[in-house]
Amino acid sequence: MSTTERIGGVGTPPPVDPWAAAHTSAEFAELRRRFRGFVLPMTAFFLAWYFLYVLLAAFAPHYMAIKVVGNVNIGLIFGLLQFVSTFAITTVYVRFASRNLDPVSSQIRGRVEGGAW
Amino acid sequence: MIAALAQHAVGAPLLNGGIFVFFVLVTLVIVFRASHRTKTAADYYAAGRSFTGPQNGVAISGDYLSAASFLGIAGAIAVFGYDGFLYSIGFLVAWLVALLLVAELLRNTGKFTMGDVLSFRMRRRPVRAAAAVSTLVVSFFYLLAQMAGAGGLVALLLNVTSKTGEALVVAIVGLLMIFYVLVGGMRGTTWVQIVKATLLIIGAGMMTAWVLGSFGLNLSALLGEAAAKSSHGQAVLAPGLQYGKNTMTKLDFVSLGLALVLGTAGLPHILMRFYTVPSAKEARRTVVWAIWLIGIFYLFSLVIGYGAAALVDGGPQRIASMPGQENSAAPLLAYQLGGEVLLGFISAVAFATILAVVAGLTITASASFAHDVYANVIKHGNLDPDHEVRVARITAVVIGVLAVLGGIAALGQNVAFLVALAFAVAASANLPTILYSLFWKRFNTTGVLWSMYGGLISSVGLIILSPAVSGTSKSMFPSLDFAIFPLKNPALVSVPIAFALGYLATVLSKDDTADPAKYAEMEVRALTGAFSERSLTATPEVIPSQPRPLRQPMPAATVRTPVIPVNPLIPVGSGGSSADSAVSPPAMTPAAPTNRVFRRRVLIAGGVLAGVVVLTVSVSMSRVLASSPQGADTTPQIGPNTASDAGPEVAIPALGGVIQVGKTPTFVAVSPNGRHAYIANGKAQVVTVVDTAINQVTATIPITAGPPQFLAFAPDGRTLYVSIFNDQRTVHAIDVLDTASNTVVATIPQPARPYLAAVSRDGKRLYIPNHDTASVSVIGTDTNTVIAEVKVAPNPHWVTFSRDGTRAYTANHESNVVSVIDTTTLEVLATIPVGASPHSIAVHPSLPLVANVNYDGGTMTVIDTITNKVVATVPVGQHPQDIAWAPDGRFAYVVNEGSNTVNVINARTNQVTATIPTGANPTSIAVLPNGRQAFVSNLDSGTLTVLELTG
Repeated sequence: MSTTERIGGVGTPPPVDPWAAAHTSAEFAELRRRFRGFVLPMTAFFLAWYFLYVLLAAFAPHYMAIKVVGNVNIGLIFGLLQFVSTFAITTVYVRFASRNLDPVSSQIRGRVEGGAW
Repeated sequence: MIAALAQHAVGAPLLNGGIFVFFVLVTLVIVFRASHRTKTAADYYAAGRSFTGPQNGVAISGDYLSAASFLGIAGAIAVFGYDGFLYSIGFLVAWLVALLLVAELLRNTGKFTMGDVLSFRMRRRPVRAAAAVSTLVVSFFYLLAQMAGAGGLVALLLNVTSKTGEALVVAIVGLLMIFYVLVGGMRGTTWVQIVKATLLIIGAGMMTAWVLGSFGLNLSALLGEAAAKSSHGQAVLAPGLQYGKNTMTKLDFVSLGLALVLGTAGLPHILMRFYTVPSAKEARRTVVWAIWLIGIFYLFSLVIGYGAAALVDGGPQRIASMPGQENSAAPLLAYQLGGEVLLGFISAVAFATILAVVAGLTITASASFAHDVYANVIKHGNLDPDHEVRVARITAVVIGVLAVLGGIAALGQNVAFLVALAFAVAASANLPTILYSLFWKRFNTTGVLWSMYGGLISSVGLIILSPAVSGTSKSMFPSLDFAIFPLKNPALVSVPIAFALGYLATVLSKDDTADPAKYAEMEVRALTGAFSERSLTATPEVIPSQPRPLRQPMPAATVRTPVIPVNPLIPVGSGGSSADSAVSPPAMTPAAPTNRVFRRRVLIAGGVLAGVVVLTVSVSMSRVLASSPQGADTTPQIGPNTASDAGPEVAIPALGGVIQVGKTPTFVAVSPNGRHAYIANGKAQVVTVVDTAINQVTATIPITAGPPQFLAFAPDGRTLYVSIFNDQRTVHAIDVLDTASNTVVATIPQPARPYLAAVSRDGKRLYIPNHDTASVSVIGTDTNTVIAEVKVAPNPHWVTFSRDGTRAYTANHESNVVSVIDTTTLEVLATIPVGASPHSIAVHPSLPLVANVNYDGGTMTVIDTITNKVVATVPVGQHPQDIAWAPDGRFAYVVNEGSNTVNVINARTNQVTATIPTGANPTSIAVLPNGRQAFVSNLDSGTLTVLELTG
């Protein structure tokens, strides 16, 4: 990776304020829009889903105790679904980030480090 | 069976000790090997940023799956059922906060500590100071919890029971930890975490497969068996056992849920791990690995927890009665499945877990002090990284010593409370501030200080005012009461306070504007990782050794930000001479001899440490060996797998004084929480209440129905059943006494003289021995009406339940037998001949044993409840009338009405080890649940004799 060498001490400090330039660029606005557009709604969703579970467990234990299959009840299924949703969100985010975030961010990083701004 | 049980407890500590030593040696080698690569600040704090995402993910799982998490969750599931599972979900979902909102952004904007990120665009000194205070508070509480837990855990596994022994264990843990940190730095501790986490997950996976396999891969069957073994029945499969009592406990649970989900991403020792990887992408992979490993591990824990409830001999009741209480569930299950080898393995992994976690915490705390406080606040950033690392190392030693002292002081404290405290403080003080500074442009220094200190003060303050600290018998200070805040966990209040304070302080402080240019820089860095990535292809050892231009970041840096000469960022904006790469070249040549000296010191230190460990383990082994042969040939050993092997063989209780309790005390019972003793004063027709904290009478309750003779508590302690009859046999009844108001709330008429009744473990049934009709009445406690009547041999005097509640035992005076009743079918399963006139009967607290005293025979008999055969008959004093076990099962106490004495019987050797004088005509004995005192009722003296059982 070429950036390594640069960090190692060969590179020169980027002129004036590359950060402001990068920050106002259209690419960065798009990157931030994509990032926030994904993580903020997703956070709202998983927190709501988690607290729905917590509140049901705390205040509706009889509902959670209803048996579905054998000794497996709604509470256990609900709990296991929290595992499933956590694994699923993780996988979805990784896929989203590597497809929609990483290419843009590495392009911007290259330009910042390369002094293009 | 008993022989097998006996073997278990004797052999295990020996093997555990061996495996412990092996583990410690392996980790020492790992740490030592890592040491020669720890030279710079980045090496010490961040392992040279050389770990890959998967490696760091395994290590972070190791950090997260602390002993509290590993033993605690499985144990909570085993004992409280579903409510234990709820914890693990909070712990797991919390990682999504780290994944989506924190890990990558933090990795890109900081260098070593949380203070780096928070101070990025703020006034550095106050913000760094605040971040360091919060980090130190959180880490210290977490450390105390781990240290106290280490004492308890090793006490359980090595059978160390004395306070000194536990303190020694804590000190050894502290020494090893200091060694790891000093020598290995972040790299060494990370490798220890990786090894340990791998073994932990493999071990847990094996146990899970084993448990599922023994139920034919049928989860439903496993759940059914766990429910059947528990005294709570099906309730263990649904939420509510632990938190479902009332609205406050439910809110407490919601509060805990909030602390868990927001606390994880604010734990400093977790945050610091994100800096050990070379790029944001690796930070992301770290979290992904961590989520999968932690999630899978918690799924294992679910099976292990219910598996322990279902498979361990004696079920959840025995687990809860072990020295480590629910923490012993996973080790007990390991023994049940794989014998001593698996037990030793799991125990050693648990021990390694504690070592590694405390080492990680110490690094974090020392980094925060050295980097944030010393280098940047005290020295204004004018400190070279070598010096900084030296300060960090000294700090680590200081923290280690403090943690040892604090850990010894915290021994016996509730570990879960300390951990919850750490999470609550992290969720309140750290996370709101981190999120605001990453996502809110307007956030300023005033906002940081208010949200951080506000969250810190409100969470710690509310905990101090909570029932966890004072006001209840389980509090840290049970004798004081300033608990004005009803929740044990403050997060529900303190997290919103921190968010609100951060918002209001920012909005209201108009002239304190954060630098917009710095915000732009921070946001670009956070999202792109510019100037903070380092190639993975170049291996960490190679980079420092490459010829490099001399370090000269200072002038350039000074131009950019004149106030702060050393930028906290990874590349100092000066063409990227980051501290880690910059220091190394000059260090290469002159440092070589120093390195050799250092390495020699390390070797010496290692040798001393290993010596201490070997010495301690061999001492504990020799104690075990010394004690085991004595009882080896006396055929039926009692109490072998309790703490009996390490404790004193002879205990002579001291007379602790006499309490005047009014005339004719016929019977004494202690409430389940141990706070009160209730005395039935027969002919005086009152029940007297003694506060056991002050050993004085605090209430006298008239019993108008007739002379009270015996007392039986419901398991929750709220209800006391009073057996009433007179000499003329004209009165027979049971009074229902409410212990909250100390009033009689109902009177249940009886057909015959009711002797000592007992309430079933689930509190739903009251069994009453009807002395004159040779039967036991079964009464539903909800309606107070008779549900069934079981015929037994004549003159049942006493009834008691097995630990798991499936059996009831009666002592039948005139037929010289003990009857065994199946509590499900209500059939008499067995009738066991004992001595002459069995009077009182008591179930052993953990072993499958029942002992009774024979009033006319002058003996105590011991019955093996698996074979239903008498295995020992012990001569005692004249007319033994009552018997009780010590809560740890090491001793039995027999009250001899004819000799005015109490006999102490060693449960291992079945011999009387002490005889203590009492008042006139002692009739009964009750032992406090903590095993410290016992009370003997002296019928003709009108007193209770207090026996000091320990110390």
